[in-house]
Amino acid sequence: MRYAIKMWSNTRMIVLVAVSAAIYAAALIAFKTAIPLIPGVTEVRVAGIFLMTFGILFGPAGAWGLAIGNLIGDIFGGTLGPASIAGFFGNFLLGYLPYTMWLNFFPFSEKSYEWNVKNPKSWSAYISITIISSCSCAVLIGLAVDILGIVPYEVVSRIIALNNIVGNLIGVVLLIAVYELTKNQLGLLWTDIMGIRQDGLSMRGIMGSWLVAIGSIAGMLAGFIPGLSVNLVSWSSVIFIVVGSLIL
Amino acid sequence: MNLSLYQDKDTWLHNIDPRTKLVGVAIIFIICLCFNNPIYMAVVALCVFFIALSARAQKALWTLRYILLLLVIFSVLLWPFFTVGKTPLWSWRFLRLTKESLFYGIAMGIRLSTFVIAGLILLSTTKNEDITNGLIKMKIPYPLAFAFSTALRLVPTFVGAGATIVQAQVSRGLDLESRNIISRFGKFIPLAVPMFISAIRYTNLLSMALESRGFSPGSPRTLYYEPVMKRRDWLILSFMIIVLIACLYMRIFLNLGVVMSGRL
Amino acid sequence: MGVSISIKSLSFTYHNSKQPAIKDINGEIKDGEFVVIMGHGGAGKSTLCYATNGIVPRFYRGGEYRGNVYIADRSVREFSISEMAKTVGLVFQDFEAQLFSTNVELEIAFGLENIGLPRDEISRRIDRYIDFLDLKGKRLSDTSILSGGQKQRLAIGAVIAMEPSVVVMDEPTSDLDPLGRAGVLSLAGLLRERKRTLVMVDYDPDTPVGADQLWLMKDGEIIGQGRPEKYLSDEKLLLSCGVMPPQTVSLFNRMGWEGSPLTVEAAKDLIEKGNLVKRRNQRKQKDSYFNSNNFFIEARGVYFRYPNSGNDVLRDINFGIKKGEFIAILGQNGSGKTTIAKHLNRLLAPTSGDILIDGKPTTRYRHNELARLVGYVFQNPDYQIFASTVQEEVGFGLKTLGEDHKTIKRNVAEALAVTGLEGYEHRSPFVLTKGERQRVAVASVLSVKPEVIILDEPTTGLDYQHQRDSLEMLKDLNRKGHTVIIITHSMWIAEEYAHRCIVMKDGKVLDDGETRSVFAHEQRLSQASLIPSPIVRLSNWLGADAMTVEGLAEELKSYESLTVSG
Repeated sequence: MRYAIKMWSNTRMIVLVAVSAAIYAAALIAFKTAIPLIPGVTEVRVAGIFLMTFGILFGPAGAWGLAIGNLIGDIFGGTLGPASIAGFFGNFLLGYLPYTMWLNFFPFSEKSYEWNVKNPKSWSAYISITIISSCSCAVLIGLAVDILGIVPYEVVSRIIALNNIVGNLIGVVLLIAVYELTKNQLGLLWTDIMGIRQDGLSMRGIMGSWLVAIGSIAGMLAGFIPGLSVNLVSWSSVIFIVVGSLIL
Repeated sequence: MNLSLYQDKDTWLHNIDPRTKLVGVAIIFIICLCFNNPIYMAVVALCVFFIALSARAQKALWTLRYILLLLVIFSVLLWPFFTVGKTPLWSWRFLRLTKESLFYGIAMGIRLSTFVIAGLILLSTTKNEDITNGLIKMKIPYPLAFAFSTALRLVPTFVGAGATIVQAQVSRGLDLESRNIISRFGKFIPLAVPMFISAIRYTNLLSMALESRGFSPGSPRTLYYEPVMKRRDWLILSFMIIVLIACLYMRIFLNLGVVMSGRL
Repeated sequence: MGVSISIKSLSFTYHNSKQPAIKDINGEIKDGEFVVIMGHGGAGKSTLCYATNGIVPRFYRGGEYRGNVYIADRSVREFSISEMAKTVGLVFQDFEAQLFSTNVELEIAFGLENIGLPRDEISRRIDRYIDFLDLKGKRLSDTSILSGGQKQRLAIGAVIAMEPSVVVMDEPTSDLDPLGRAGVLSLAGLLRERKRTLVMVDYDPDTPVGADQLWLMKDGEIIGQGRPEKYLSDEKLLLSCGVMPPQTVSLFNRMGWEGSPLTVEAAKDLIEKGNLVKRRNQRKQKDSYFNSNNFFIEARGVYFRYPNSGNDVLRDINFGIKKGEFIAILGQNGSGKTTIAKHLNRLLAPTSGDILIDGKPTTRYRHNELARLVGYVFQNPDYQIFASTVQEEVGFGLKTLGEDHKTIKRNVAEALAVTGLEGYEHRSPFVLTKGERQRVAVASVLSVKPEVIILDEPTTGLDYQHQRDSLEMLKDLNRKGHTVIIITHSMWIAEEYAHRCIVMKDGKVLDDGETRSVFAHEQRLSQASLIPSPIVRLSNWLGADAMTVEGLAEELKSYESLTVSG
């Protein structure tokens, strides 16, 4: 969590928040495919292509960017409401988990903050984190919209998760295409901007990652676990995800 | 490109402090959450609708009519199957419909529409910079507020760029009109990559220009447009808080306005 | 007079780069001086500008910085960029990237808020500077409705309101149309009158006329520094720096005439005083161009308006284009140039009227059929480049059109050869320079072998040499049978390369005809706020036909030989 706070004293990171938020919001608006899955809540999100790329390249700036970008999507779309708050935090996780879990989601994790197309570790980190971050976002938003009476949890959480996973899996093509340029030519890899040396694997990080992972997978299974109500499962999943994210 | 929902008019809602509107809309949201009885919800919705009319937001509302309609239909169709009430109306195999769950669905449809209308009142009467100023005055850290307002400003530019990118690729033969959702996702790579790159090339320039204008995160700065809370703002806020307390009292202590207990 | 800027043996090498961007720069600028910096793309002009307010080295970590820059005796490297902002105002080329606020007065206030001025002082400063910017009626206007030129003026004003002792402008007019450029230059003139120290990077040889110093840069070094007159008359030196020499100087050199006039007026003076050549009556130019009916493209009564918008962007457009033409579309931004061009391959369709291609309305073609007939190269190559190699990028159009592997390979190779990109096949297009990326964009349109190729401002952001290179390439394509249509703000490009010009104003065709005849009517052009280049103005005044320096020199020499033999 510390980098997500510390970045606000760096001008370039602040601008990156604005730019990534604007890209995300613009993609939500410009490439709207007019297939609302649940009107006002979620649609086929082509913008999902950007999620992991923002998280991996821009780290905390990507996380805040996705959060703000989603909010702006609601503002321009006219769907600003209490669910926007959940959307803010859910989308934050989509950018936050990729860079925080990148080194910590043992045994799938990478050893450095860099993306290397030839290293199977990069791929295992990408794919595993794609699934976890997509599901965490879905669980968080799902519970919130259920409580608010917008859409039932069982429906919305799965749609959001699937949508984000598909977007991210295609999004790897985007990451491969832009990684070199962003890192070497433009010097915009977040660890370079913030001057962070490589962090090592920490017990705390592994614990956080696995808490989030357990929470998000359990949340997806809500309704299929005999003897446990959807309500109980979704609430405890969210607690796992929030606590895990905070110690990451 | 103008994407903003702001309507340049002169109504009482345009003239009150953005903080009053932000807090006011939040209060409306909470009031909506107090009831799940369609009749009570309808009363709340009607009040909000009249406020929207007094803000002359009907034009913006009209553009969202399909979303509003879909919201209501969706709720009414979906909720009854995911909630359980006491009075059965109809059942078929494992599907059961109860009176309470049907009413709950209707109430939720109204609630969602009210959310949208209330949000729209804020957006159609408040300029983006006033929302940002309001947030700053409510102690949101300036760098965060700056990122938010810069993103708001950049969105139309990037949407315009997105439209040009679509044109550029279509003129090279890219066919975007396929039916299949998955292959459509794939076709967005030729759109997403230029979108990302053209925007991201901007970042360094923007940061340089920003620092060249004396921007330094964390340093104290002046706020040129200072929103001032007037007596009117305090009156409106007090009134809304009283209404909120009354609603909370009705729900919590009198248990009014509830068809489905155990849910907001 | 005090010294405003003093640069001492300054060198800087960017991180990841082997070559220094600037090498051993020295210079001194006194209070109130006006200094113009010119040079080819990549000569280090921007780096030098960035060194004046500390962006270099502060912003570029890991770079190697040697030497020193002093602004009023303060060493720049010891202060943060935001502190330097109070003494040095830096204006960038990209006007969009320098605006941060929603309305004009807030934009002026932004820098003042950052340095924590009290609110009433900010308000006083806005009052003081808004007149100066010629934006008074627009104080509360949304910045997004301003034209490019107004945005750039606002960016300058926002910097000046901070009352820095030095203003540095890095190519402030390169992205503007002629009208916008004129506005910015007149603002710069006002600054000079007020004795503000002004440093400006520019490409036009007109700008340094009357300046205190001209600095010529090449490959990171200053190879000429001093009074502008001295260097502006040195054609070779200018060309070696990728700068277009003043056309009047080139003409005098070619004719072997005494003197190096820097302006058209000076040239006229010298010619009259020395009785160098006799003026003639200009030959009557053919005005009409249309007596054909085998047009390949035809616009018939085209009107266009964007949905939800009240006014027509195009009004009653009629023209015909034959195969093999080379056409320039001229006009200010907002005159409808790009809009009409986009109609030609149905990126837009007329609200009423028709665009016929080969006799059939564009609306009856499918998009991929049109892609083979009319190719469109967008102004910003970054709006289309997405593939990881140049080869893949250039072959994308063919692939989507369903061509087989062999054809793709052959066409891509041909397109790369024409654009001079052989050997680039496996490189990533993103890391190329702007000029190269522009070529990739052209190649990717060419590979489909369209009959007609439209280019929207293909030379923006390129230096003189690269502009020439791209135009020679287009000329070559035209010779091979492609119809070429360019949209441009650059008069000399239209004059030298286009057979025909279409001048747009307020959504209408103001003039359409052979280039020579269009440029003979200076009055009519001025209605569209266009001014022919110096050589054509001189040619018009002399009653000559030619539109290039070489052409005019030859023509004038032929008069002489006529007079001698007669």
